[in-house]
Amino acid sequence: MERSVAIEGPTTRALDYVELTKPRITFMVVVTTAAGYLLGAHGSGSLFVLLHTIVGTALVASAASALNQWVERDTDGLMARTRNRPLPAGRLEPAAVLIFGIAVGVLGTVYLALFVNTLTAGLGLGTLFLYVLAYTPMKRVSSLCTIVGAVPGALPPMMGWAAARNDLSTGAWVLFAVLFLWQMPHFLAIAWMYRDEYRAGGQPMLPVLDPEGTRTGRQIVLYCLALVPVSLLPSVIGLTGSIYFGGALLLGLAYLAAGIHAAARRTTDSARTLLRVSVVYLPVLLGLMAASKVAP
Amino acid sequence: MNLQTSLFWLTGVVFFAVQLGILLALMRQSRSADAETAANGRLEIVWTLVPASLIAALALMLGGLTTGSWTDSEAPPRAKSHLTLRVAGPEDPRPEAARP
Repeated sequence: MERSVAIEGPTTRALDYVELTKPRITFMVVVTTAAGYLLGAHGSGSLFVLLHTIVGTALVASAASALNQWVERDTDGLMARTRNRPLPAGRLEPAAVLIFGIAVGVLGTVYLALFVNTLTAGLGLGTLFLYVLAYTPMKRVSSLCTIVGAVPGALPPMMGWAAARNDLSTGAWVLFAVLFLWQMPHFLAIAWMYRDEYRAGGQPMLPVLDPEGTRTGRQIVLYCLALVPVSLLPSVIGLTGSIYFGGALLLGLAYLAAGIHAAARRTTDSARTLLRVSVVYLPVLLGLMAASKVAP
Repeated sequence: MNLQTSLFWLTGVVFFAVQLGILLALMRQSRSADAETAANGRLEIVWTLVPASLIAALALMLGGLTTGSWTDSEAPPRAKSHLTLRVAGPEDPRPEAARP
């Protein structure tokens, strides 16, 4: 009889720590931060400040992911999607992950305070606290956790802006609003796709309360609709030009179309399509924003 | 009003109209005889109010920026160092009242 044996060593241990940081999410967070910086900077800003901001934000985002997994190590074990994460699978010890998360969080915050500015560091700390201490515990209590969780998700572009300007003026808040609204159909699509697992894990996401999908579909369409005018604001306030305006309008209508399709069909496949559209929408929108900047 | 501003207002109006429609339907649902429908209807009202509240807050913030400029962000970053001028030279012989 064949048996497979997992061979653990320093390399696999390191890979487990990398997995803790949710690298794809951390990468997207860094992209939104860089977009905020490029939009807020005078001219093209300073490459050094941008790099410091990216490093600090990546550290804070990694810490948030690690600490979130420490808090959710039991519920993660109940869901097929998350069962193989380092903690529920037993590849790392909870105490080690807790220390790692706190250390990396402190390191990232101090790094930002030293090499960027205190405003950006403060926003990073706020992101960490909101994600780990507000959003994560709320997941067991209310579907409104998705709304609360969208706040720390929308702070990184403000961090980038704050790094460039050391203020939180209008442009920063427009970026916050775009990221906040973008997240809702994205996370509702994920919650719809994995609704049975969330139910098994005891997390009352909206689709868990709404097996028919009517409410979820309605909210997806509503948030996509809200995103259209808000995503046009950077051009309306003179931050970006016509190319961004046209691109944002087309992207917004495509996202809305995918949202309407998902709300009408209410299948896992239509939700997956919406998720894929959302994942293309954001980097293209942010890229257009940076490329079409007209402000000094 | 140029094309961009017109399209912006159009998309905003569409959002508010749809949002109002959803809100009215949900308010009717929240008075439903079925307790679960009523509770979920009230919950969804909260969901529905969030984007409108966010947009209203943004509108208030942008209230002064209808010309398309963003005056609160035009000032350059504050300089990190101060420049102290020390002027060397003979003392001003004029009486104090006569000095500028």
